[in-house]
Amino acid sequence: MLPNVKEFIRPETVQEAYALLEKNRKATVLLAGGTIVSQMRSSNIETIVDLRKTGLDKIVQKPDEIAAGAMVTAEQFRQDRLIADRYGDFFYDSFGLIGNWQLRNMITLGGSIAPRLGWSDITTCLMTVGASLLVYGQDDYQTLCIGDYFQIPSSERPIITHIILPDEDWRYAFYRFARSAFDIATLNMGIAMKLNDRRIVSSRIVCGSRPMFPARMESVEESLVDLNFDEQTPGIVRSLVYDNFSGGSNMIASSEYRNHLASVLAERAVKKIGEIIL
Amino acid sequence: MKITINVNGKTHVVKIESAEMLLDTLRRLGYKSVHRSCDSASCSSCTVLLDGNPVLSCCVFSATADGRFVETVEGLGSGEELHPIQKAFLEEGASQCGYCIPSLIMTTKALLAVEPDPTESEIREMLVGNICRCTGYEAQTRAVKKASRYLRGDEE
Amino acid sequence: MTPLAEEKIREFNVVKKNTDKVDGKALVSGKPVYTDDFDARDELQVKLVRSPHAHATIKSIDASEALKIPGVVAVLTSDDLPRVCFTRAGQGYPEPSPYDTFVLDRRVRYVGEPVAIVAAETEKAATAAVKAVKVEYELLKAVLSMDDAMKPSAPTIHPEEEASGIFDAERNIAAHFEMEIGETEKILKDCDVTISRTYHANTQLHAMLEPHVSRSYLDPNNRLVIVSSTQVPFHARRILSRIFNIPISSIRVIKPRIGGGFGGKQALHTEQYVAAVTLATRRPARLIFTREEVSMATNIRHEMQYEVKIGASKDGKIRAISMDGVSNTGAYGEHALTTLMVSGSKTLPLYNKVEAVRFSGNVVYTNLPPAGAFRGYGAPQGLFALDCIVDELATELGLDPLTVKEMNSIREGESSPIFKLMGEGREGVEQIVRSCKLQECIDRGKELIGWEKRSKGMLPDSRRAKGYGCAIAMQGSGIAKIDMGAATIKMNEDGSFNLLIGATDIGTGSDTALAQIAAEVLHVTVDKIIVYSSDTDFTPFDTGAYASSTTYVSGNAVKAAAEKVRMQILQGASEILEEPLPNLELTLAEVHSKETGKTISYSDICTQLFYTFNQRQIGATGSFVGEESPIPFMATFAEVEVDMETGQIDLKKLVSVADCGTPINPVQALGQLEGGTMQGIGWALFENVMYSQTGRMLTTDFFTYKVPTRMDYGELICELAESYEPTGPYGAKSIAEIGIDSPIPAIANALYDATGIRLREAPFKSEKLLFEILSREV
Ligand SMILES: Cc1cc2nc3c(=O)[nH]c(=O)nc-3n(C[C@H](O)[C@H](O)[C@H](O)COP(=O)(O)OP(=O)(O)OC[C@H]3O[C@@H](n4cnc5c(N)ncnc54)[C@H](O)[C@@H]3O)c2cc1C
Repeated sequence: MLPNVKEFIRPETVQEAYALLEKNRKATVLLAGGTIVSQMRSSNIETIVDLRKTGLDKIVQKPDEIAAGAMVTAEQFRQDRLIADRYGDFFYDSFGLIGNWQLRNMITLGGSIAPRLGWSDITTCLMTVGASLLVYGQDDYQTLCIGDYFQIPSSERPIITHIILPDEDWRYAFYRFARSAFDIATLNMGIAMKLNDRRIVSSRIVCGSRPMFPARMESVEESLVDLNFDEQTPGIVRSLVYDNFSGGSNMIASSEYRNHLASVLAERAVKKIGEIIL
Repeated sequence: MKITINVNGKTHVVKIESAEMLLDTLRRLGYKSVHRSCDSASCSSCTVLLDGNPVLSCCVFSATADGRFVETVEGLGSGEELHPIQKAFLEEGASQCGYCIPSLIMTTKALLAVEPDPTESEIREMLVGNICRCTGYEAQTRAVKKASRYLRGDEE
Repeated sequence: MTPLAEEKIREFNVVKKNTDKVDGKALVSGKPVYTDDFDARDELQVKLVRSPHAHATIKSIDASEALKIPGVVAVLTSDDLPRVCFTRAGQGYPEPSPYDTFVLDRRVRYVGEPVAIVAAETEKAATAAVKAVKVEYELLKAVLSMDDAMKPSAPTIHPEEEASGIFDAERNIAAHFEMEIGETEKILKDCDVTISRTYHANTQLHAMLEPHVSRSYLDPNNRLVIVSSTQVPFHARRILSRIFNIPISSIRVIKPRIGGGFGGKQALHTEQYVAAVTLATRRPARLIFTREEVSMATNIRHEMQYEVKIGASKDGKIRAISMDGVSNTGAYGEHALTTLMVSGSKTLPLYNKVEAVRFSGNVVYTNLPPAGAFRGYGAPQGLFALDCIVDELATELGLDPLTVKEMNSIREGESSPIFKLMGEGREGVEQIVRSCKLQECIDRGKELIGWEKRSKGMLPDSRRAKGYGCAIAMQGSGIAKIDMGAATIKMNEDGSFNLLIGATDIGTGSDTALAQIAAEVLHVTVDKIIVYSSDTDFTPFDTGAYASSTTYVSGNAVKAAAEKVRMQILQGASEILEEPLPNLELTLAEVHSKETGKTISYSDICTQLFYTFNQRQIGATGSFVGEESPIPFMATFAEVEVDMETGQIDLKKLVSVADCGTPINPVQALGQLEGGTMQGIGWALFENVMYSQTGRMLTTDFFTYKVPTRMDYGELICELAESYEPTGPYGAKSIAEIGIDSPIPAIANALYDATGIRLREAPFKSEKLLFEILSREV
């Protein structure tokens, strides 16, 4: 419980929210679903800026992309028609593995990306589909890829307003390993492939809960370019991922174990993609 | 600050602290069925329905509940008469210590609103967050199924 | 079947029926029934300043800044409290646990140990004050493992001279026990096959959902009243009286509804602090623990390691067993000796046909959170070792493990010399097994799991391996000659009865089961029994809710009281109807004359006796102490699948069939069995307590400590194999603990069956299993 909060403000625009944040960053926290903010104990925080009324809770189709508001909840996103039309069961199934119903009703897309959680399955899945961020900050609106958002020093970090999902015809699969049904992932793995006939044109291999922030395994992606997708591919990806993994140890698992899991989950994800196309 | 919340159909205008949690506000208002347990958003004993959706009241800032509708188990049933879900839980022996039961009943209510005839695996998936340390969950699954039959009128 | 158990498995009116819980309606309605649900005026909020160090002495405490915070009323340190050495363990008196604890001491022995008590007008002020209290520590070397505890270089954790009952304080041995029947080593040498293995069961958290909480106030006569979520109200009263040197007559302990305990509330955790505040300030006080406090600063399960040797002849006859253990009691010796003894006394008699058996162990102090009572109370740790080594022995002999367990295990009418040699903290009692349906449990379990048709090995998709395992278990029903329960019943003029019991319903449903027993004797429906339990001012004594005692011990007390009341009802009816007693019998809420057909209702009898005729109160108190501790039995079967590429363990199915005698309330009895089984599953697979290098518990919340959810298992089937225990109330034994005993060995045995890998340290982790699989493949 934040012990020293004096003000709880509910701005109605992102601009207003940003201005409030800029007033005193050190003493201000943005509030989305609240599942992290409610656990904070920091005595520095004096102002809570609630984003609930800023109208960021919708998912809309734009000409070449879908824009999902940062305040869209995980459950809302996985149940959304536009998302289902675009991605089939990918998000319905993957997000279904996150937390539990109550938590999914609360946790938001923006609130999941912004705190840079290593274990966020949401971030891994969004990176897998190549999502970028529309943010509002001192340079007005700006589109950034998820990685670049964190390059901005935290003292200047903008507000995430939308998650931009590109219109692309790729194949996706997501796997996670956890110690029990309701646990954060020991490791998660999202794989996307763009295929021309059987040829791998491009891919995204995203590994999260390493336990560090999800990252793309670019060297693996490069090695796959122009390969023909066949029965061998899952095994190839498995060993490439095994050789190129970088991760760490924490109380949940050792890095050796994670290395192993990464390669196995990658193989399974590629097999799943194979089931769709072969 | 002051907020207005509607709990079980009753409007309350309450003074709250800026960083107060809905769990604390509700308990202060006398809704003692909302239980504190885990301090880490991971047991669901504090589940209430907020605009019909099950949420953890330990993570909801009371200020964000301003103008919204909250339901707790105190709002179920009428007088001596139990709500069919409560009746099913009682009859199936689904509660031992009872601490998790109000939240479980509310989550069940929300589940049966979206899925009136859930399968066993749907029941497990949707209620997975509701931790119970006493029962082993089996009687609760039977209770949810029975409640669904009561509500659909398949069983008296 | 021996003639002993054959006695009347008969039809009952109320017993053996699924009566709704007497408190059920309140619970499903979310009524304010738990300790923290009652608001109080003028109440102080209590918080504890806790040590960040595992082992240190306190040089100074400066509360001046804290006292300046508006609303802070008092900060109490060890200087403000009586220096009385006691044990927090709620056990029979004199307690078998050492007196090694002070309310506050000048030395801290684990991270999280209280060093000062803060009382303030609001929780916020109390929290701020806790931060503002300055404590200067002098750090001592900490002992963070059992291995280190007994090393000559280890610091002594309990050097205080006031302590008593410690086995060897200098060497950090809180308790020690050893016994031998026959010449174990000699026979082991003589066996066709002898194997020796080491098994290690790690600790576990109770994780009851309601945190520890208590409230205190002075009543108008200045008596100290404590409302507490406790399993042991009478022990709490006795211990508080000792600590604060106030007479028992000046203390009242009330237990409202309890949100789970499992042994975790069988000790004083909050009561002494609110009492201290109320006595110092004369004001009401309340202390509710955070989840972090519940996890790291109450009690946890005793971690135990056993080195076991077992010898058998070629045909599978077990000839000798030797168990050598170490148990970790953490910073304080609560339940130290007794849990050690139970890990032998409630496992080894299963194999009563041995020629020799030896058991010994040390319980050591460490600078980790104090261990205490926890469902199973040592038995599951012992059984993990014992059942698995029998399983391993069978493999070694090329025999089916279940066959070996069946052919060597105890049966109805048999006994074991261990019953006499090992009690709880002292000698036990001789007893024979008057009721035992172990074979029926096994047979039914085999059927339910599909034991005969089972196929093991790699599944067709070739990544997953399947396996099956079984384990058999026993427990007790109360502690013989120690656990005493009493009940008072009084009659009202509408034909209802108040049942006043010291027995402590902590969610188990004992209020309901005991009401059923009373209703059965008195020939009324359960709604005529008004139960009031566990208020030291109003209910008779009971040792409390532990040791699987309530149904058997308190149940017998209720039966005794009800039988007296029944006689008084007949007597009253005889006077009113002017009929000799032998003519009369009870029918539902009436007395009826077999001779004249005259009938009088309970309500008429009591109304006349109250107001108009031979006026008096019908009422009686009965009490009971077990001369024996009848044994419930159980067989558990597990079916697992292991993902051979990740090590993930998938519990597909678990079957437990238990013999608890007559189930007084079958749904509730099954609930106990299922709940215990699920806790066993959790301990086997998910519940992993971790510490930092400085001894701070890291897994203090449910985000890091994984209690099993309803999606963490496949199918769970629990059943009861009914028997009739002649010494039990209507044939009942116990069911509260036994469920937790066998999941660990059953799952361990199934994992071996699936993978060929023996995991001898619980909980079983996927990571460990995978690396074992990989190292074997190399
Ligand atoms: C018990 C538990 C288990 C969980 N398990 C999982 C899991 O398995 N997988 C998973 O993916 N997640 C899981 N989560 C969710 C995850 O850990 C976070 O709690 C969640 O993603 C945070 O979302 P929120 O909307 O509640 O964020 P909030 O708590 O509202 O905010 C989080 C942070 O983000 C900042 N922020 C919020 N919105 C924005 C924005 N638009 N722009 C800039 N900054 C912003 C806030 O200031 C705050 O610092 C779990 C959570 C809990 C409590």
